[in-house]
Amino acid sequence: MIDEEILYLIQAGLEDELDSDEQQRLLQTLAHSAEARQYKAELEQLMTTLDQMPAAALPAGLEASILTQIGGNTNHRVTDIAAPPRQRLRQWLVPGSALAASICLAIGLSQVMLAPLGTSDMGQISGTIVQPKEPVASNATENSISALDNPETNIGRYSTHVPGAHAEFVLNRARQHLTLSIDIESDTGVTAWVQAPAQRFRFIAPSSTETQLPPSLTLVNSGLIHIQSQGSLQLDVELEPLPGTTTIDAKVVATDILQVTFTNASEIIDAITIKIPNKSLIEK
Amino acid sequence: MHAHQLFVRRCLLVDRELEKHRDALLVEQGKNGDKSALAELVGLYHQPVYNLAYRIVGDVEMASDVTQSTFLRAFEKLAQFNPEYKFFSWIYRIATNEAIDQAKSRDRFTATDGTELAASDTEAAIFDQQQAVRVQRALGKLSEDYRTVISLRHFSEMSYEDISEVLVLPVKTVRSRLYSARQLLKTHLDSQEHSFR
Repeated sequence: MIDEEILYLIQAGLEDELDSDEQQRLLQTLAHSAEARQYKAELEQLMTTLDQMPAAALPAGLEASILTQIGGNTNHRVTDIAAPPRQRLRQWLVPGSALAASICLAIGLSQVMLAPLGTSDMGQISGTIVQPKEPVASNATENSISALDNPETNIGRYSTHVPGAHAEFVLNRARQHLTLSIDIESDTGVTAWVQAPAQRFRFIAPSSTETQLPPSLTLVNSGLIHIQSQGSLQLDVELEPLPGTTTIDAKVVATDILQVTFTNASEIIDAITIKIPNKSLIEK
Repeated sequence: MHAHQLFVRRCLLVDRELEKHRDALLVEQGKNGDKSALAELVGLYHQPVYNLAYRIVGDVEMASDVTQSTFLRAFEKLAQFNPEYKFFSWIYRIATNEAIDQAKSRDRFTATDGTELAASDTEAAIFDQQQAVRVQRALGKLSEDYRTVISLRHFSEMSYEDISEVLVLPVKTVRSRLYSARQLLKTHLDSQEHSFR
């Protein structure tokens, strides 16, 4: 019979909730007790099963029924754009309305050793476009984009557009690295967060997170890089994918979420999430 | 816990912080009468709210009712929402209370045959579906409180702190309740396995 306290420690250990003394005590117990090891294995299995439970399938019409009751609407249209060509670069006009813009970016990366990629790696894009609710003012000009197997490949150009502000996010496959260029302009101000372990990315402009920020940018927290800028923000982030990455895939997964995944032959090994609250992302 | 699971949890923490900011903007617009902002909140949260409700009540129809009444109640009380808190904690709290009330009033938990779960036809998925049915049945044997804490932790992927905010309980209580709930769930699953042999 395993002591109740040990059972508790095993659960907490599986959730990475132990301090070093508790961890030591648990390790000693596991080393000497086959029963404790078996319990741990069974509990780990249970927790994995729970974590992998499929979501309950939504009944048809549930969302529409709620929207009807609240008097809302669903006037956004979703279009599948698997493997689209991107042959145009649009220049966006900024409407005059003075609405404060608040743009959030998050880059979540795992903390793993880095190594440069080979030049044969390919960039590709697939995903979904969510059309804006209102027509967006734009001038279209031609832009020549390299073939997808070119080591210098534009793998995604996204923009978001609200009265008083517009933002562009450009993902480039630049030989060994992925470059994310962020360009935001607003009438009144911009707030942005870029979050990632420092060893997994570096800023090109500004080149340091602490010492070379332009005067218009304020570093609030070194862990969570929080940048505030009046008027506009231009920022380039260079990202170094994990060794073994063979595919970089950029996908608009929701109206406000751009997801970039790094994949080897069989599984996703890293992911970046860029969120723009309350904005419609448009693949360009 | 596997490195991948830890990575996913860490990403979720990052996401939650950003969601808080996004949701606060939508709520503010909703308070000012912007119906499309409310529609966006529905779009963002009806699936997770339904999933949570389904896990607690174990019945498709009841879970749909809970999901609808959750949003109606939330939007009626939108003026009371404090933007310092997370919208998802607030709406999950409403959903949890609605689901527990419904489950208690009807005293019913359906032992699913798996058809309510997201469909898939690979062999591994069928195995997973059978496993999911067993888990759902075992969940039905737990009290609403235990079912709720398991659902929030594993199906809604919430941190202890988030669960504590939703259930208005100290983190320590969440931890010990989760511990007891898992112990009991494991016992029910073990006894199911023995009865199949």
